[in-house]
Amino acid sequence: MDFRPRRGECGETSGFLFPHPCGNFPVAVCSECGKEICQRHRAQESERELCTSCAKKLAERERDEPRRDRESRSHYDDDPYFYSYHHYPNYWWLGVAYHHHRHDPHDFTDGDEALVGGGEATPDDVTGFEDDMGGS
Amino acid sequence: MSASPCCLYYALGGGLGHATRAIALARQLRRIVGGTHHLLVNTPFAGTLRMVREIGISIECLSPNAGADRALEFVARWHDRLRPELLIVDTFPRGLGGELAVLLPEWPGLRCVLIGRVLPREYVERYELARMVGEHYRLVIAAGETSRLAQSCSSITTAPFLIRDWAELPSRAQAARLLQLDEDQSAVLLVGSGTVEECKEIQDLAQELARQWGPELPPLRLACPLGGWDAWRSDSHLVTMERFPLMDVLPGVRLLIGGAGYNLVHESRAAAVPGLFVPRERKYDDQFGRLQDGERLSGDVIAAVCRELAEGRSARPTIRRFSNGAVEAAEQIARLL
Repeated sequence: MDFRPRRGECGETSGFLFPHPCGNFPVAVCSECGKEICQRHRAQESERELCTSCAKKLAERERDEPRRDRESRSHYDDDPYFYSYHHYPNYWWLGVAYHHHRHDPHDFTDGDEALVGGGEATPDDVTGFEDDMGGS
Repeated sequence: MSASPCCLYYALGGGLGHATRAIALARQLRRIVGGTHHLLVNTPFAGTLRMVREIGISIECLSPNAGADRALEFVARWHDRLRPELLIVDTFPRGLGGELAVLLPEWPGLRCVLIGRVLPREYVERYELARMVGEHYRLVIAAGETSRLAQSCSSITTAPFLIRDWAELPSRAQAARLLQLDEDQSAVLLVGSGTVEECKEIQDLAQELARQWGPELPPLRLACPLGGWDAWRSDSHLVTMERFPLMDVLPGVRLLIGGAGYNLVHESRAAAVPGLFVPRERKYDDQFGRLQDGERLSGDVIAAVCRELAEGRSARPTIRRFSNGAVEAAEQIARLL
């Protein structure tokens, strides 16, 4: 099974338990990396369309800069893809290990860490048969 | 043959595809042999199937949340209640959760037919499906697509199963009315299908498109088996509907956009409606392999729609007479009764 993003599908990775290509209909192209992105994975930064991964990287870069425009990104507070970043800032400051040791059920899981890092699912995650009564 | 044979259809599986194929076959078989035809389903869209009004066909629903154990009980209960002469199984010779592998050895006199489809080699080999089919099935029908199990017992290959015959399709004017269009109009139709999550995605896409939809474009319609329309009925650019079978409105459609499931793709081709499809990874289906050149949606949707309309591929050619594989399949199955 090929888990690389396909043209015509959102190239962002999603999944709380098992990261997998999002696969939604794309509605925009990330101006940073050129990836096609769906409505749910689209983040708007000023006049630019970004995927959530690039938006997060941008946010991390700007974290070290003066907080002059912090207010301009306040809409991220309600965006689930930026939830950890804004409501659990230490996670971002101290890294993944901190996240593992101070686990909060409302935090993202390992799957979402992979999302941030662009991780991909492995075929073993999804090739079980006769274990899904909603299969088709 | 019994004067009024009872046929049981195993159509468990996600989405509406399994039920739609089973209904397509059941209505053709009933034309030939009469009798009663009972479908077993566990789709989360069972509510949509209530729109089926076919005499002699009934649909029995299992919760989509039920596991394999409950599926086994469900199938066994209906078998014991109906004592069917024939069991027609869509796609899964062992059952979706392996329940038929338990039950079929207990029903040695039951004539079983498999509607065979593309299944992954790994699944076929790991579960020894060829041996299972050889032991328990009388006939495999490759319904418009290849089946790895066609060599396991007697088999035929037919055209794709369709829920409507060519002669049953409504006129363009009738279809336009069903789509809430003027009689000389045709629509760009978005179709929700697959999983509940995928239907929500197409709803989101429809709302997004409705915001960008230009007046020069044909009217936009959304057909989706999910309810919950109330939140966006105020959007004048988008008319939403729940319709089954979808094929009834296709003569009034200029361009179809949706997933690449079996029924939507084959119905689109039969009704000569150009389609732009998004294939998904499926455990038991090859949606990517189903599509032909030019059928796959890529890039910006509005741009793709405009391109399709400009290229004239969606100029609504006359719907030519098409063959329905369910007719031939029913004729073959009737010989088993």
